Amino acid sequence: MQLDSWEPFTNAVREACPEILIQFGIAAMGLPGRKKIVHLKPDMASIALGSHDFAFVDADLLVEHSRQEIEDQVRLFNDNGVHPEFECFNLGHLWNLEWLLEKDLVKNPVVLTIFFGWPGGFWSPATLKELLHRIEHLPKNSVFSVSAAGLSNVALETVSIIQGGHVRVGTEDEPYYTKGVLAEDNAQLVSRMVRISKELGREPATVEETKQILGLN
Amino acid sequence: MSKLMIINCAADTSMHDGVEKRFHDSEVLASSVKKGWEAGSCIAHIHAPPTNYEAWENHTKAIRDCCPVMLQYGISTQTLEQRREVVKFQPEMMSVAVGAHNMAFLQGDVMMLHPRDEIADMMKLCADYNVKPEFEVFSIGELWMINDLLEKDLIKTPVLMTVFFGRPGGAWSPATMKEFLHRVSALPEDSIYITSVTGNTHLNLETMAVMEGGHVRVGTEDEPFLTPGVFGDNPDHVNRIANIAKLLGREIASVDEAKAMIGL
Repeated sequence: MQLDSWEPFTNAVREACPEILIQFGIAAMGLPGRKKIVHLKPDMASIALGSHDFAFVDADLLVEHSRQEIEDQVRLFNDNGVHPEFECFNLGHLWNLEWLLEKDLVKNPVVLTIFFGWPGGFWSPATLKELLHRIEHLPKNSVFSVSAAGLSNVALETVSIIQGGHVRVGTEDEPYYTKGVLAEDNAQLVSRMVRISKELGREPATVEETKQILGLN
Repeated sequence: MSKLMIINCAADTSMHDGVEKRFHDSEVLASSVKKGWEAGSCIAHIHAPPTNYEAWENHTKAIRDCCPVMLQYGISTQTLEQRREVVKFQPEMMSVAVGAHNMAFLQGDVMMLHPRDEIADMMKLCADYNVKPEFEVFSIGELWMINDLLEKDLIKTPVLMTVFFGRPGGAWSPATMKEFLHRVSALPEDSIYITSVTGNTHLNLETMAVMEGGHVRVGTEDEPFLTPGVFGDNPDHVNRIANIAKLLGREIASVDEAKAMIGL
């Protein structure tokens, strides 16, 4: 995506639903690009906790993220009131997170997305076993959402709901509703999670409630 | 489960603070490797500066002159061109990283990306020189990459890998028995895994590898201390795990037995 697309996209979303929290998915973006768009004041933006090592359908995506760069990204966000959303693909990323926490650079709660089933050197099996193993190692005071590619995502999201986690679904992560059937739209994928969580005794958070949970100002 | 257990001795001493660096000299290195072999190791995992090809040649000659141990070049951060220069010295194995390097070492962070087309070229180099690739597995994600190589028919089984625990940085994983079992249960069939651990718990995980049918890498590179504060030289580490393996019913593989297992 071109850097100058971020502003019209942000404006279009703000106009369509002024309340929703916006998270810029810019994990692969370097510091110069971030500096150019941080003034748009998304509520959150992504930070990768380890080097990108993806095998996507079109091409591999490999991006190095040194500790210095991660630190600079966090400082940029802190200075501009943007809450970092940390991407965790494996336990090694928690080592880098711990390093940030020790430097006192990250406010509690730590907002994490934990990923499963994304192809490449970043992969982890989209299985309940892997999910439980990951969750067990997360730092205290972290708020995690689960993102899984593959049809087992429904099972993983359900376990996240049961375990007190949160859910990320949408056509980016897994566009199929069931085997061979593309989701009509994002709303269909979200609605299913709403139904499941209500059945399991959890209430989908409103925007205001989400701000409280994530510690957003 | 294989009764025979491979011990790989990672003989370097460059990674840890307060441990004297001894292996700038080929004779010193060879002497320590030989003692490790006498204690039961059948592989020596060695290093030299990436572009000091003379040092690679000298290390190789010095070790070949004193014992029949297999050589594994620890060159997972070396480029294809650098590998071409050292593969002529005919090591039995060379290290291949199948995930991005993301290490926080004392001397500085080591960051490196490893694109799939580069890994594919390395596999061709290995095939041309009859060198077995030893894959470095720091997380389960690397298994996706190994599977990709298998599907493209770029590697032969058995797949040889080293599974790492406790190395600091973004490639870290906890050096716990739970993590060990989690990783090992995800490995492909027909793989031979050698366990390498950094940190105080290393002996626990190595013993797990003994019991689970795995293999073990020990030595001053991975974790120089036998117990906290007690430095052990390479033969001390090899001796200890060899004794534990024998007590638990495994036998220590000779060089020839290990070659047959690995498919060399």
